[in-house]
Amino acid sequence: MGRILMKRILGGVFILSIVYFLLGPNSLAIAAEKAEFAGVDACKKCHEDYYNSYVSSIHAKKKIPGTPAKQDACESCHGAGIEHVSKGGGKGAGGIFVFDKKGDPKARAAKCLACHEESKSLAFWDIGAHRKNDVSCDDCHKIHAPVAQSLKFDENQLCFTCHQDIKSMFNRQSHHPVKEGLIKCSNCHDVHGGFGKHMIKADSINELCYECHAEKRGPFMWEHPPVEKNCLNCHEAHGSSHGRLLERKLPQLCQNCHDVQAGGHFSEAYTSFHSFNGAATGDKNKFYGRSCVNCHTNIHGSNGPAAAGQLFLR
Amino acid sequence: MAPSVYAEEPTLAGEVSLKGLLTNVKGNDAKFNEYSDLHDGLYGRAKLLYDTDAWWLKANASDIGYDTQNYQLDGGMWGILKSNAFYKEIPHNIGFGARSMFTGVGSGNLSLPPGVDPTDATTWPSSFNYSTERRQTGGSFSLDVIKPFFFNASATTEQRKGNRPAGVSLDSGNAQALELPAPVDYRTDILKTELGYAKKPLFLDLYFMYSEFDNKNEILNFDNFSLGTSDTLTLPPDNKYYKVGFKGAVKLPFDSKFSINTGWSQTTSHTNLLTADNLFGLTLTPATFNGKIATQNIDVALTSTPVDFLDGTIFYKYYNRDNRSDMTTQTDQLADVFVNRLFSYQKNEFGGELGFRLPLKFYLSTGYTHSVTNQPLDTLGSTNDDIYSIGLKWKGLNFMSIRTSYERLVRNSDFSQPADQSLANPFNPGINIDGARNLDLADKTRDTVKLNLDLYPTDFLSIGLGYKHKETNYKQLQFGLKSDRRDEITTNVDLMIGTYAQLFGYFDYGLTRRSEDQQDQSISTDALWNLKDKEKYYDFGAGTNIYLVPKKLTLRLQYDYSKSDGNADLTLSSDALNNPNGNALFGTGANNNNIDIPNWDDYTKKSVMAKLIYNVTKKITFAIGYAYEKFTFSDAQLDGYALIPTDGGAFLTGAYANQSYKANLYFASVSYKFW
Repeated sequence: MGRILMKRILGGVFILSIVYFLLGPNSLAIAAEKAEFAGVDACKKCHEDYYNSYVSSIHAKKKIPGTPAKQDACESCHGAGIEHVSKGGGKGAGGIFVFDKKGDPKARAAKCLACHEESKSLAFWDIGAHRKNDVSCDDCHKIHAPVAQSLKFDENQLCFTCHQDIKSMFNRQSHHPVKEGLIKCSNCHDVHGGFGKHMIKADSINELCYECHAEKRGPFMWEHPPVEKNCLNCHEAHGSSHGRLLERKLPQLCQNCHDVQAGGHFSEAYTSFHSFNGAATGDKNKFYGRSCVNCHTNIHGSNGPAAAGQLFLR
Repeated sequence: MAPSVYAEEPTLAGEVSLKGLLTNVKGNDAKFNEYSDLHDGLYGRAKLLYDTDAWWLKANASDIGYDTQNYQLDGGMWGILKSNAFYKEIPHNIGFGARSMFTGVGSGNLSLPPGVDPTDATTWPSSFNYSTERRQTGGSFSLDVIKPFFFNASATTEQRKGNRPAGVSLDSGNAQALELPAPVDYRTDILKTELGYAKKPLFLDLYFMYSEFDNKNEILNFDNFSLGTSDTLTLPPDNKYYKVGFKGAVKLPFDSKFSINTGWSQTTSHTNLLTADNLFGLTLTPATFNGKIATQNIDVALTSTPVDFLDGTIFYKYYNRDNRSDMTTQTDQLADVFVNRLFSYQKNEFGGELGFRLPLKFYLSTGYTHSVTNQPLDTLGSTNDDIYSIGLKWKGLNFMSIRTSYERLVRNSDFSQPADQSLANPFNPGINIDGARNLDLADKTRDTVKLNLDLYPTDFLSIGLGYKHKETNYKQLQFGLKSDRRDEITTNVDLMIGTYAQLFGYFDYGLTRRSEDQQDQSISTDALWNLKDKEKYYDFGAGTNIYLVPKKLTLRLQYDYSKSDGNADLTLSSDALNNPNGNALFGTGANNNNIDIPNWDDYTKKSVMAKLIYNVTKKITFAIGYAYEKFTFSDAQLDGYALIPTDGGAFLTGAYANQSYKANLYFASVSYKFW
């Protein structure tokens, strides 16, 4: 009897020890950790405007797993606030994290990535140009934004705040309709990072262009190699002073490659005398109007017959 | 955890606005409305958001009833699913009131009616617009509830209709060109779907895309009055495209990540080839062409920040375009054989970047990329590119950041020009060279320098300055483009003056200079000429928001100006100026002082806008305003435009002619917000 009792006592001590080990000191630690969190009511007392904007944002949605609403509310992102409160508040006081434009962009992005890295759109953030150039999530996104709006303002204008040179391209007379609001930068570019050159949303320039310009996809019997290799051999993607987004005027653009030729008109010098009212005696129709494509209209490729197709004339 | 005290009330918010517009456009209305539909009328816009703790719905509508109308509906259940549906129109206007001698404009058959004289435009029956309209309908769906797995699917249909300018030569000697309105009646269907897994440390994504392009008119038949026969221009064929791909990433120790992207695609087309080449008077054996292009790509990258002050990336990329189309043979009545050539290429690229966080808030980045492109078509050859880059950033002061970078590309190409240029005869199927020297295969060097300075001394002032210089030289080439040099400057300023006003402005400048040497062998090997073209572009703008009564009455003023000034300076040898008989090639009196082209896509554009905004209440806003825009265009290829030029070299329709315009717009709007 005494032996059985002793075994039971020892067994109980053993189990209690395990329970204490699992829950005791750790739970004290967790309890201590949680004790450093001030709680959302404390935040609201001083920051009611921010609190209200947070409440109307997607971060306050309890139905979405992992949101701050399902964790520690404000302190999920800004860090534990007890010390901040005990020091009477103030920007950065008590180690509270501030999303300040002048702060370390990597640290700001890390706060967002702690939850959002596990998303499709941010899977390749590491290899993207924005990360490499110290762009942080809150440079573009409004963290406390209302549900209908996550960017600080209109997407295209947002991109232009840094990409002034690209904005200037869109101001040119021939351009993709970005400033008209009909397409957006993100229609072509993966702003969160990707493998494509210049973060385009495709594995090659042509694949991207063909999504909207599928008529150029061919495949054609008579191909024009520079076209098949890269649309940007002849076109500017954003804007150009020349019509049809060409990066150079015809006929010079064509003469970049088509010049020395025994016979034919490829290598002729086209001058102001070839204009509508000019005095040239021949070959004016290779210059005025649409120049080379007055005749070689199927410049992107042709299924035309024999020589006429080969020369993109039919 | 703190108790939840969030609002459980659903949110209903929205805005409805109506704008009345009066327009007065003189000149080219199509150019003014290239991507818009601004005419007299009422423009409506509406937004609605309904948001609860469980689900949400968002609706947007703009330009209701106009060529730019746009409707979007988003909705979902938080944490469970998201979906959206949209309808959108995108116009592209090139020219209104174009003319044609043919009837049937907009169809695949253009007929020259009896009694119409091609040389007399007053007898031409058709007036039409060069304009296309895209109408896109689509939707998408994504499942969030299966997290960490994800699933998305989307489908889009686009109908594109209208007319675009096309052209043909009326005869095999290219003595006369004929401009034709080619019909645009396309449909593109795109389906995308992906399935994946995203949970640290792993990301896996398998995707599939299918796109089908349908052209209602794969040929355009027209009456070739020069040859006295019916003739045919081929138009883009129907095609099908699919792509399967996989993307993945895995987080590794030392703050590293390995990422991979692979894809396989195939594009196919099928065409019954024409059996007559009317242009060259050939009758051809029947044949079909089955086009098939396959692409494969593999990209891998390893990024790492093993220590705080160092981050690096190494990568490898492979891209292969494999042309598996038919090599189709057609034989003409003279037993000449015509076989198409298949263009393929492979690109291998590898490289790395290292970034160092240095003391005093400097950041130094260096990079190297080696890229080899092989084009195994005849003598097209291959290129080896070495790209070196270095950059320095400094953010030592709170109110300023400065960045500078330099990149050098050195291309060595394995391309040889044939020694015997007389072999360059495209009609001889046995000869590979078609008189083309591929510029992108020439040896070249390219240097790019960038400098950017951003200043934000106070919360209400920001200034940005940027400079870029890019210079490309083709030193190996004897003839062709020899150099291309570009300089760009960008500046912008934004200033808030208390609660009274905001000022903003910008200035951009670009200068492109090119030089090429050419030889006009149609005359002789001594017929040398040089062209230097220069394109200057600048734009600037300034604007202000003046808060006459803060939060109540605001006056907005804006002025924008842009100018493009191009010219081509030609210098011709006497052989190039004169034909072998010594007669002036370009007409009597042509010399190196008067053959230059002074107006090469020259234009100025001035815009002014004034708008008064009155917030009657927090919910109701009135606005009234005026805008003016003037676009003045001059180009040597279009000035003096004639439907039938005096040299008899073409019959045109008016595409891109007379692009200048002046527009006055008067508008008034009212909007109501609710929440």
